Amino acid sequence: MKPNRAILAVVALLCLVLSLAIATELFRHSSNAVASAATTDSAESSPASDGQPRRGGTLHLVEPTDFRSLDPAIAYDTESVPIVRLLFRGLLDYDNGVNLVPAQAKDWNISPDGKTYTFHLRPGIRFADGREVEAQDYVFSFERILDPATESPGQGFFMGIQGAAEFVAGKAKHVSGLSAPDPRTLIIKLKDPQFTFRYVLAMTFAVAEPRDVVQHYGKDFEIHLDGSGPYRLTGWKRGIRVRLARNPFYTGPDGYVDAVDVMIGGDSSTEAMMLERGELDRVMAGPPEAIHFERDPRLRSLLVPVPTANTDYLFMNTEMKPFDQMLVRRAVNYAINKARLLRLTGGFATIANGIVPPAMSWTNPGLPPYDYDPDKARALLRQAGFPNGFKTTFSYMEDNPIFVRVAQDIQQDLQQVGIDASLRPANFTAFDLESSSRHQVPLGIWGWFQDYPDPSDFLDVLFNGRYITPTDCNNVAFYDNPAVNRLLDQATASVDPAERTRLFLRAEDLIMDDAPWVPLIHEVLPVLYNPRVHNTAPHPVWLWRYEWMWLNPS
Amino acid sequence: MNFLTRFLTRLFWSGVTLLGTAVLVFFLINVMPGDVARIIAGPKATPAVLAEIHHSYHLDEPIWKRLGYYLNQLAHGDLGHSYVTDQSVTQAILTRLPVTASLAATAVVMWLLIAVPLGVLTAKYRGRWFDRGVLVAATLSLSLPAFWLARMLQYILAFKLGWFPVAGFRGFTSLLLPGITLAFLFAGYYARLIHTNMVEVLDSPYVRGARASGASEATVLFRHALPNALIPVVTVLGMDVAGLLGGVLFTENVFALPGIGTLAVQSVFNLDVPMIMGTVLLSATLVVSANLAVDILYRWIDPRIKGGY
Repeated sequence: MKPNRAILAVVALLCLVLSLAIATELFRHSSNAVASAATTDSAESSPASDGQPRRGGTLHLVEPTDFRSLDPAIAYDTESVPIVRLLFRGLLDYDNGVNLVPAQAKDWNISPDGKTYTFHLRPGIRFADGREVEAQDYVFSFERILDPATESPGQGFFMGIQGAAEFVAGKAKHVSGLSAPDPRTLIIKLKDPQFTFRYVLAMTFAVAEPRDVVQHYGKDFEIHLDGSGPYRLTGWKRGIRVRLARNPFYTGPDGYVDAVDVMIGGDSSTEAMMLERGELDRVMAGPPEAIHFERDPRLRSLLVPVPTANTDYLFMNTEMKPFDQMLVRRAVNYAINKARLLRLTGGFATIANGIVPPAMSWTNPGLPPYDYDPDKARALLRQAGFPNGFKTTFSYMEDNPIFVRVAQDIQQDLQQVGIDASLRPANFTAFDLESSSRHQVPLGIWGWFQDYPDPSDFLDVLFNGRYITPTDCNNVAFYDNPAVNRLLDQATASVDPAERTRLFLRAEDLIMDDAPWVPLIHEVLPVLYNPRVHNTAPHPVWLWRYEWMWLNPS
Repeated sequence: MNFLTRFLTRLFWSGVTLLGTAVLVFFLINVMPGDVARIIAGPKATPAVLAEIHHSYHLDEPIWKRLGYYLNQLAHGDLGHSYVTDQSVTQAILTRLPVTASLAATAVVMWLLIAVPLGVLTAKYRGRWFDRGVLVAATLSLSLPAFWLARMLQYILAFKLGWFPVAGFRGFTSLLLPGITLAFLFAGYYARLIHTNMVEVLDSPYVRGARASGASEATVLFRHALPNALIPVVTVLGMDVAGLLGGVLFTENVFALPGIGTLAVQSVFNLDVPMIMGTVLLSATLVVSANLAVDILYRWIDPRIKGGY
């Protein structure tokens, strides 16, 4: 009879001991994080204004899911880019606003024809393994982005470099427009003048990668990220935790915190509790949770609204009936009550009247106003030959909680003016596939975030009819107006900032007049900060500059 | 048939079950609409990059061919690479298994420590207020939704009272509260299971014999009766532990534990097909092998069972 008990005890204990041993061994080094995390409520009495910035401490962040990659050639979202910035630096960066300043470049120069960029590197910049950064590292990094085998989402930004097309097609071993005559000089030649290329060079795609390390590790480079930024990667357990510590070889202005610890996992409610107990320093929330945070007086005092350079919009496919008629598109613009949409987001948004978000330091006084006016919408529909309205389908991405609420609300607005829009929810990939293909989606909701602070990133990328492709098209309204295309082409080719602004303003006016979109809202991110964190003001391009944040002493 | 033949037959059908699961999951996930290349490279990817991805993931080939590649890969013990992080699925599972295993072990020890004494004592005092009280409590614990209980314990014991960390994984203390949650959910069921078996065993002639021989009550209960009452419990426990190792979805998620359950939920949200298939296959393998193991174990513990599986 005895074996039963023995078996049970042995199985259970063995399980416990074995797995505990493995787990403890695996995560031993994470436990020292607890000590520095246990600093609760210490900042009650010291508001951000009175304290002197202080070095030291560990900044505790959280991400709901792991970064896809922190390899600068791959990372491309608002969460991974700020971490990549800590590990890598490039030629150019932004000041506290949207002005470009040299970073690893000592000076830079653009030839009068706007085609040749010459950079001289600052001496003494080193990678985290101690080797000095050379111009050849930049040539290597840019070619790596262009190489289709890298599968970089940023490849398109570098296609304007001379010889890039030949290199991508496999007809050339190197990109002819990239050269490094000496270790401190980098010359980039473009096929055509491209004003926005300077912004591309400030993106995290355009940083210096240590060519020897990348070649040595191949695909495993993504866990051996020896960059030339203020921090280096000291640990990354995929899906569990990312840790960064100071890069001992960094020579630029130092970051304040000694280390950054990113925990992966958790939902907003759990994270908010962890923040209040001092286990975390910053928590981001979706709008449903943000409404809950707003109602809680304690959490409300920790809430910082962060405006983003984004526009969420309703698009009408100008190639599909009845949205091929401008009058119908204008009617839809008058039919939508944007003030009510704002309430659905709990106030974490601003109403969008134009295409380019104001967070891009952009104002356009000449936009045609489309105030909420259902009577005018009905009149326009009558004029267009739809006195009894019409039926259509309305697609949206169900993975986005804002889009779900907004879609249902817009459906009601459209009903009011006689448009019977049946809702078609889809997941991200399905929606993305359909909406970017010709003649598929007549009406839908989408959003766009800036890549760099230039209006061309919205106007030229999303409305220039010359870029329309049968599939994978970003111009989801399939809007093609030769007059607008001409203005946009002139604007993107121009290097005179004043003239560019004038041309882009004119293009935006014309587009809004043709009304392929109803711009809906610009999103505002609700972010909770532990009161011990200072310098939390968001940056207009990077959003988070973790190296600027400093912590109260524990 | 002798034991070996039976065991081999059993093993064969376990293999067939797993293969069937793999094929079914493959088709279910691959009929979902959407372009995987756009998940991988983002909405601003150029056609050249998309084509490269289509090619490297065999997405440009017919589905039956892709099934072939997939099964071939499985036959070599390779579960593929995540679409989202490009990490090896096997490696992702192996990194997380210790966390889930420690949680399962902690929870099993906790719930057995609660359930065994309760089951034995309620059987001894059957029909009394103590028995009825435990019955009510057990029914209650059985009907509690896991996510609600986890959230409540987290709010009260960790957030309000500060006895435990709220969430995250920073060593053994992080496992206590999730362990308590699972122990709560399972202890009631096990207490009743042990109770029922004990009642049956306590009425059997050999227990009366033991009593008649003058053995103390504790000896009768724990040495003579309990081991026999635990035999059916082994079966259930084996399956439950396999289930726990396959991922404790709600509990792990509420407490942000980096285990298999969190991995499964994250990969569903990310539409990370290889990772979803990996976690589903892991669960299926665990359940099938637990079934097999329990059957063999059972024969060994209880010599009265001869053949007949």
